[in-house]
Amino acid sequence: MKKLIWLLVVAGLLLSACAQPSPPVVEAPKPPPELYDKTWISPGKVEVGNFYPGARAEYPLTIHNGKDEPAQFSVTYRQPDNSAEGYVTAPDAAQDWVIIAIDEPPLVLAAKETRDVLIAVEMPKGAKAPSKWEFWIAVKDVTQTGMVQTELACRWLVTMRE
Amino acid sequence: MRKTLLAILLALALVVIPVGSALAANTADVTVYATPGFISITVDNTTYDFGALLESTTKESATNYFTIDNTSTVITDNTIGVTTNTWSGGVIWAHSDTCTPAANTAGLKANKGGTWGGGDVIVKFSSPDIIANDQAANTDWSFGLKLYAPTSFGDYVQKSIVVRITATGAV
Repeated sequence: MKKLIWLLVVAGLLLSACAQPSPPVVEAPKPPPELYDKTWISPGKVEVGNFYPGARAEYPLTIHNGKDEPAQFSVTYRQPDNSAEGYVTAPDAAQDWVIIAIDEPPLVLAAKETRDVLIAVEMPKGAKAPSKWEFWIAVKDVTQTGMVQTELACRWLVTMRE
Repeated sequence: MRKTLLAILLALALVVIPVGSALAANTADVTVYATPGFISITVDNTTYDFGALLESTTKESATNYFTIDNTSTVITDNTIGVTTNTWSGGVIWAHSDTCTPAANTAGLKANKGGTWGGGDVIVKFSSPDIIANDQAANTDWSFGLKLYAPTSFGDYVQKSIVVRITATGAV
């Protein structure tokens, strides 16, 4: 009976050893106080490594409305204006691989509200992509008026598995 | 007793092996890293009136007319482009991405706080160019716009187009 208990203990240890360690929980950086009255996004850059057809990667994009009144934001996939060294523009099909999870579009943030929008990229099995490719998630306050407007973008750099 | 133990070990082995391989195949390898930081820009002046134009002429603002209030906490790359390939108002103008004026076709250039003719950037619809590369965090910058008027006008209705500054994390 003792042997049986030992075996069960060993088996339990084996099982726990096989489980993948949870990814480290990284606490999102807190914005400095001077950004409270500014509209911002975070992060500005996401790097995905060892990606492959059939895989999924995700990261939340945090958006803050620094205005004193509600503002509507567009959150869109777009091709990069310029690519990082060694990276090329994402293939056309990639726009169908990117999921922008907005619960109730359009995205309207109250004054000084901060909200996370989950961005996920799901590459279908059998799909093809360059070894290093890039796309942007662009965030724009669509209540802006005037001839010159601003847009904030998060750069996604994807490296495929060898 | 020995048979019972063997059966238990076999059952455990069947459980252990699929768990390990399934985890490896599905999620183990993909890595996602984000560079901590905040991207934040606004523009003070949002409009510049080029005034009345003559055909085949240029008109420009000061090269520091528009100031970008840059409160990003990280180094950024900033591009400048137009959001449409036409100018609205009456007989529409085409927007030239080579800044080559023609009949009802206009162009735009930008300059980041320098002297016109030195370091000008064409303001394009397709593949906008960088105007502020590796812009330091928390450092404002300015720019101006120069309009290249069409060689002939279809009408004399006021035209407009939206210029967009995009800030993203530098690479």
